[in-house]
Amino acid sequence: MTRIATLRWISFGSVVALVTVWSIVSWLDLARPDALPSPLKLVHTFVAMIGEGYGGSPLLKHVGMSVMRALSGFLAAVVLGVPFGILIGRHPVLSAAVAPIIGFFRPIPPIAFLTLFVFYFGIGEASKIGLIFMAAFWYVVLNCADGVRAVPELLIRAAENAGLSKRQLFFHIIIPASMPSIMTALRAASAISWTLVVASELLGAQAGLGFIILDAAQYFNIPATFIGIILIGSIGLMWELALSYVQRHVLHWQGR
Amino acid sequence: MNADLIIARGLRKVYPGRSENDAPTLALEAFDLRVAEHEVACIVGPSGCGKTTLLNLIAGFEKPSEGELTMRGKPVGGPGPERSVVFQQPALFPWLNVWDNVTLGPRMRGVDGNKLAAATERVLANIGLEGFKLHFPYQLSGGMRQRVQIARVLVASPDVILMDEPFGSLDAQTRIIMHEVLLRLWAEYKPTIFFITHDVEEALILGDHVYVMSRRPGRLKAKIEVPFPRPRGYELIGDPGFAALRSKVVGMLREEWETK
Repeated sequence: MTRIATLRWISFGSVVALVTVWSIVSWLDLARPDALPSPLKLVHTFVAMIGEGYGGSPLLKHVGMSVMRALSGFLAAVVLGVPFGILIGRHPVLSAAVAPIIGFFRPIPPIAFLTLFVFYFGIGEASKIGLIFMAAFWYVVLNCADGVRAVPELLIRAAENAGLSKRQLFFHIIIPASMPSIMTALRAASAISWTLVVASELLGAQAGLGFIILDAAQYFNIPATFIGIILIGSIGLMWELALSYVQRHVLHWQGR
Repeated sequence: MNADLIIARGLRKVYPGRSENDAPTLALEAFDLRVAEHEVACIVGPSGCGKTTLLNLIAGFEKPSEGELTMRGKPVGGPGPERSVVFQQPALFPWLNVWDNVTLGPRMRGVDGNKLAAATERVLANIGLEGFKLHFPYQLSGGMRQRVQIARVLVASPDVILMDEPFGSLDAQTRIIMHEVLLRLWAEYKPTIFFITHDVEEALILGDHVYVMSRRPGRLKAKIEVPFPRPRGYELIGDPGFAALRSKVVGMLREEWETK
């Protein structure tokens, strides 16, 4: 316990150190102030943005739009990808049919499809959510399929030996045994969704954190750009922490 | 003597090669076996002789290539709880606690909840797991995990318990404790046990008969009666008769290693 506490202090300390160095650099004018605003300047900007909003919309709306897009794409990927991945993991024929398609599309950075998606689905929400969905979906499918394939033969034999039916084997053994991979899939997919929301908002969005970054940078409003980046980082971190909390609870039986 | 429970006649098991250049493996050939009801049958043999193949056939995980394998006169089919296996590795479901691991099979088969709970309480108490009902597998030692497997098998009340070197990966001291646990449980439940081991001493302490297998392809080389009265304890090891029987069986196994 003390060791964990020590490590937490070290993590906290490194954040303090970063902000300190950053403050010193800006106070001593080691960097151009218009390129690297001081932390204090950013606090002021943030307070101002909370009061006035950005680009005619409240700050919360920007945050809400980005979260909504990422969450929609992510949830759609999970709802469709988990069952599909499990199915592929269980059926070698289906897996063989899908493998070349996944193999081809997976190494292509999802952002490469952005313009095409805008052409197909318009400049609105559909192209953005569609892009996030597509990128997250393959991750979920592949991780879940791997998880199902990796269920130890020993456990399957033990279950058959205990007299479980095919259906019981699936729901009471295969699914829980694949849970660690499913959780890994969710974490990877959530990270991808959040990364892509920013990218998708660079094209034709009127609100969202990606929009703030692009718009502010175009007007050389560097503090607002920083606020956008910091918000993206903070929300991503909180999302990640929440998911790892859920993961620890769901997988408590791993004894970690 | 009790009636025969398991009969194998002319069993043969061939594993096909993985490719054209890979020759098929003949694991068992012309294998005959009779195991009586309530018997503890210990199978010993040189490593790779097809002991586990034999167990997998009886368990129904694999099918014989040729020959006849029956239990109570009926051909052995796919895996089922009437032939419950204690695996060498602790095959516990890590997301279930001890109680749920032990009761999973009967619950899935729709066994009456009250009866199951009573039987489970009794078995867990008997096997020394009373205080561990809510523990998860990762919280248990190797010996305790094997106890959970044995408890699971006893609660299933099978016709035969198939044990595949269940204590092979335990340390020497825990192994002795597990032998005593098993002897005590046999005295209480009198199950038929089919026990695979490479440890001659273990076979002689536990078994009513020791079945010595030849090297691969495995055949039954000898069926040796173990005459020591029950209840047995570890003091049996000091008995001159035990030592004599031990060297006899080891001698038979040695013939198999040496005639290459």
